[in-house]
Amino acid sequence: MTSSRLGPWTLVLLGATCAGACGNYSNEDLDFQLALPQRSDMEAKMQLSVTRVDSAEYYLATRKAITSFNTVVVDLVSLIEFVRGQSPTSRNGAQRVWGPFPSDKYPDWEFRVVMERSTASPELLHMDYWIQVRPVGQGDSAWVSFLVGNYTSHGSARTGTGEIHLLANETRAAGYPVDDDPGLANLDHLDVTYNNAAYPFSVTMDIVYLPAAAAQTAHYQYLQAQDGSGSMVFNWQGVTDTGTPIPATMQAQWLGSGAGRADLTADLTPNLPNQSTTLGTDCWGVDTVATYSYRRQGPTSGTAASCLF
Amino acid sequence: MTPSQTIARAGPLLAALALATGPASAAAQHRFALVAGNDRGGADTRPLRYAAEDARKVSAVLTQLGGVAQDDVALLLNQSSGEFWRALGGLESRIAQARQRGERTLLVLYYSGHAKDGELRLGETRVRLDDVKSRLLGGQADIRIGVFDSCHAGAVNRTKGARRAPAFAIEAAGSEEARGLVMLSSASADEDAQESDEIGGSYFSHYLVSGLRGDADRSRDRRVTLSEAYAYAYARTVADTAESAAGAQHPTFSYDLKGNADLVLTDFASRSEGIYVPGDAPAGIYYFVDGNGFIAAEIQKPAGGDRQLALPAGRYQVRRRLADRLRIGEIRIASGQLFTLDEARLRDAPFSDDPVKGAQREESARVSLALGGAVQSFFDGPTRDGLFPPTGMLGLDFELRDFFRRGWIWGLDFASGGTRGEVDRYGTLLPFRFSELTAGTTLAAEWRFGEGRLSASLGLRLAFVVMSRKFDDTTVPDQFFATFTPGLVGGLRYRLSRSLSAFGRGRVHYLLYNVDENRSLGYWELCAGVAYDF
Repeated sequence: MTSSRLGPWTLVLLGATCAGACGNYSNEDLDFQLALPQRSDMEAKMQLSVTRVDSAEYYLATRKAITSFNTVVVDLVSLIEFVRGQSPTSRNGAQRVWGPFPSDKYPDWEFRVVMERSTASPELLHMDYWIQVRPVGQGDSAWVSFLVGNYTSHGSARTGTGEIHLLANETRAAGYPVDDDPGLANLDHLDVTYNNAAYPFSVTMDIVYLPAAAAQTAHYQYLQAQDGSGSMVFNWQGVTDTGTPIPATMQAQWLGSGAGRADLTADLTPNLPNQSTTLGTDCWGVDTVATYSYRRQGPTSGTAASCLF
Repeated sequence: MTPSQTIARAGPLLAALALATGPASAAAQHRFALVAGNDRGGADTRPLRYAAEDARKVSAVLTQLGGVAQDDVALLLNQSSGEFWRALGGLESRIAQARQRGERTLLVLYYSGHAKDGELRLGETRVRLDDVKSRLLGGQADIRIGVFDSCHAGAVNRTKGARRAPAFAIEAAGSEEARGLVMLSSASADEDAQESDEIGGSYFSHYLVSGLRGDADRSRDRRVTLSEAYAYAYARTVADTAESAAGAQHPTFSYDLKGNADLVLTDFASRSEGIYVPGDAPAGIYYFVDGNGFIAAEIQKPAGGDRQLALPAGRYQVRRRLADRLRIGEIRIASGQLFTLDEARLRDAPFSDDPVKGAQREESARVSLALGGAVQSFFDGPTRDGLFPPTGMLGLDFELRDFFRRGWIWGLDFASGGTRGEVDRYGTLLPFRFSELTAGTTLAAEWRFGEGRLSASLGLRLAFVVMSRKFDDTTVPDQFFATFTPGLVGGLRYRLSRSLSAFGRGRVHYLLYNVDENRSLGYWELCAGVAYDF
């Protein structure tokens, strides 16, 4: 990625090179750049980042889930942030196009980013965008969307709601070597929605893997309140009363200080839908050490009164 | 015989007559001088270029060689008539005091500048020639010498039997001290006094100074008398102006003297500081150019004869002009020493290397450098508020005036500036630092008023602008825009002194903005500053 900072001599050189009108000085371009999500818009935040040998088990699970969640967020945003550091290659009314650029990794492929602004409402900023790939030398119809997103502002250009969809399987079907990336090897698609228009901010992430993968889906739901407290719901693995592994859901919540609680629940009675059973609970303080620990199949320690939730 | 009847027309060699009379010594008198030079002559006259410089030269030669003490010289450069009369009155008072002490006195009144309709023009003010004459006629100094280097200055001699003659001499029968009035003018009553870029001064004053520095010393007694100086200045002025567009210029004289001794104006018998050109040096005219590029003096050296010139210590360029080239060299006259010029110190040079200031340029062409501040703003409100904010700038201008054509200005300008701005995009405020660099070239016509003090200009300008902004939010990339913008420029310029001017300019420019879409924008600039003419 090229530097977006211009020194005075760089400006003079650019100006002299132009020998006519040229540049990227544009308020309209700002709208396109502001509509793109930043890492901070989607990243899960938790005050505590320490881990100890005696940290609560479910605290460690929550931290692990947050790390996985944020890794996906960083990967997604890095795809999009390419646009923020570059001037559009072409401007056409409400559309901006960056590229096509040759792919460093796959010389037979090229990619581009397209952004379109909706003119339906002058008060609202709504953008749709696509990251597309195609084999070099093909026509416009050969573009395949690898990532599709949209954004609608609420209140200001930088606060609103958005969606990002990573369409790995469609790109794979077009021949693009998606599976060379270990992170995408078994991915069918990934859907992210985010809302930073008003507290609590929320991000949901649904990951759908190929049928052959070990796991079929992953789901994250993150909420962030203004005071720093938050919650995260994510998939985890539990065990039945007989010790058999079973898909479960961890619901963690924490205060701004980091002290929190997590409950692992699972449906132990498939014949009675929505009858969740608590498999375990951990409460922890700011030192991440459990103040209360309950396991359906194990001993209980501490007192439930120490839990903040 | 009345004093006015003592005027005698004489041949070129008659100046030698003064030699026999035992000229009055410069040191025997208490000498005073009022030396005035004014480049400006008010409305309907064009500014002169060298009048003040001529006055400086005359003042210098009088104090260095003419026996006039520094405290006894009133040097008025570009001063008004009020200053002129005040200075003259002050000198007259001191002359009266000197006479009371029993001293013999001499007053030299020198004026270089415009004259018209019987008046000396000192800027916007006037001095009637008749008033000056009356003042000199009735003056208390034993000898009063008036020298007027100005157009139609011969009018000063009209009623006193003025002569256009190569020399004059005093009929002398002894060494009786002279008393009375002598008036010299650089041109006849119907002639223009001419300046020359080649010599960096008016012809008459230049030759008067060169003569007084020694080249007029035909008697070789190392003293230059009034008649020698006049004869020399007359001959050289007529010769040099004979082929000029304005025609030959004839200096005139008149005097009303009692006594029979010629007047020694400069005496360098006891002063060895200067330049000596030996007899075996090539014949020709040798010019000695000072550090400012002006000819300090010249020598007309005959074949086989030597010449000596009294010049103050310093560095000089020596120039001798041949038919196809120059011979030039540099000399340094040490304090109190006579420098003997060796032809071997000179080298051949093309005419383009002429060290004389102004020798190669058109009349009045000048280069100026200006520093100024400017404010720039776009006419369109939304553009001004969120795209290109109003900006302050500092600039440097380089101008050639009257270079390609009289009344034309060609300039190059560079400016840089910046300000803080803010853009609102759907409620998100993005503060930024706006910067701008411009380089422009202007071609303008200039009109001058009030002796050239005030001038107005109107012209075309083409500028190249580079505008950029750096956002406080570092996630937003820097932006820039560069383009050529044509425009109109108008300005006023007021000369504060010979070299310094204050100016104000207004510019209106067209700018095609084409990043998002093609938009025709306009902006204005107001600039003010000071300019220095080289």
